[in-house]
Amino acid sequence: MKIILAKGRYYFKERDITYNVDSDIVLNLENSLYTISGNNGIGKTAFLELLLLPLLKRNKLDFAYLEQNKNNQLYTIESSLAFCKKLDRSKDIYINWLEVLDYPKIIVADEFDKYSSSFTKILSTKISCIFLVSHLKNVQSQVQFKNIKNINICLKDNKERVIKIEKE
Amino acid sequence: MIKIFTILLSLLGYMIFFVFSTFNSNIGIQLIVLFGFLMANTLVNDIKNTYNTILRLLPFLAFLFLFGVIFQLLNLLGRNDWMNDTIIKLLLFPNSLFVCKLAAELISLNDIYNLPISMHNKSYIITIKAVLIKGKYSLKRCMFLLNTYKYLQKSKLKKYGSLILALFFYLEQESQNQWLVFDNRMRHLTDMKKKSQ
Repeated sequence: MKIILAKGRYYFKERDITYNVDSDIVLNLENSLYTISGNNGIGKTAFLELLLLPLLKRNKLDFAYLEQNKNNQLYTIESSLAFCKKLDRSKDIYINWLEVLDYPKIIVADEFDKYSSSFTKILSTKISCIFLVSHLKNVQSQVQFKNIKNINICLKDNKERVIKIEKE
Repeated sequence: MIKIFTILLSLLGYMIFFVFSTFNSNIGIQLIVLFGFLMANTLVNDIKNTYNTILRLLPFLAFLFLFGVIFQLLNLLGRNDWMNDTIIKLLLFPNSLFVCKLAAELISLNDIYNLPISMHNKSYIITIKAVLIKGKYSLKRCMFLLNTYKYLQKSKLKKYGSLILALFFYLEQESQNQWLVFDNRMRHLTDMKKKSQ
């Protein structure tokens, strides 16, 4: 399964941020790890939330998004599972959540690898593709994917963000 | 101290004169009050904040209006003044919300700190204020996250129910966290003060 982040200029008014994609980026969702790199404050999280997640939604793909702040996420996971009467205290909360999500094959994680024990548990499920923003250096060693690529975000003329894909 | 007293007195004044007096059913006066609050909110915050607040209120107001129309058409309980009653509530609701919002925004952490009450009691108020400030951001984040959970997308009731529950969890946990941070800082400052004496 492949999806395409189409060439173009993407402006997001709510965060006053512009991304430029010079040429179509083909994202292979099988056996793939995509790391997202760029300087602090460049807009890696915004890239995930404003470009990538809507792209996955448009393609009707199931995914699990893990955000930087574990607490907020846990409040929502616990409350939603409880509200849907699917909270199972005998299981790990993330595994319980992924089970209710029908074990999505795509994981979008924003610096979530810093919670190593939870991240390892999530990796133990059948995942075929991970998009990961990480500040740790041993990311590749944690996963066994064939296709490892880096999506780099950099500033152009101090204004627009340019998104490029590079092989690791 | 004087500032907080004035704000609380104004709040009380609003409640007495515009909610619990005969003015509460005067549509003209309520409209003027609403206009005044909109102006005040724009001055304290900005036009965007006023616009966003109205936008958030609209679904509730629309529901209120809808029920008013239905009750009027049904002549419920033999009353035929449902529309008049609804219009008054359509004005009272945003007015009451704006007055509480403005009062909460105008009281700063420094104002609370300057209150002539014990540090122990102040710490409760400061913790609540800090949690509510952080809660504004948390509300948006929780909503964003819930929108990514596939199993909630078919039911708005489940989504908003989960949101309310998540906010309860947030309030319970974050108030404890904020309290610990505050307590830790206070203890550190007290130690420093003792050492310097």
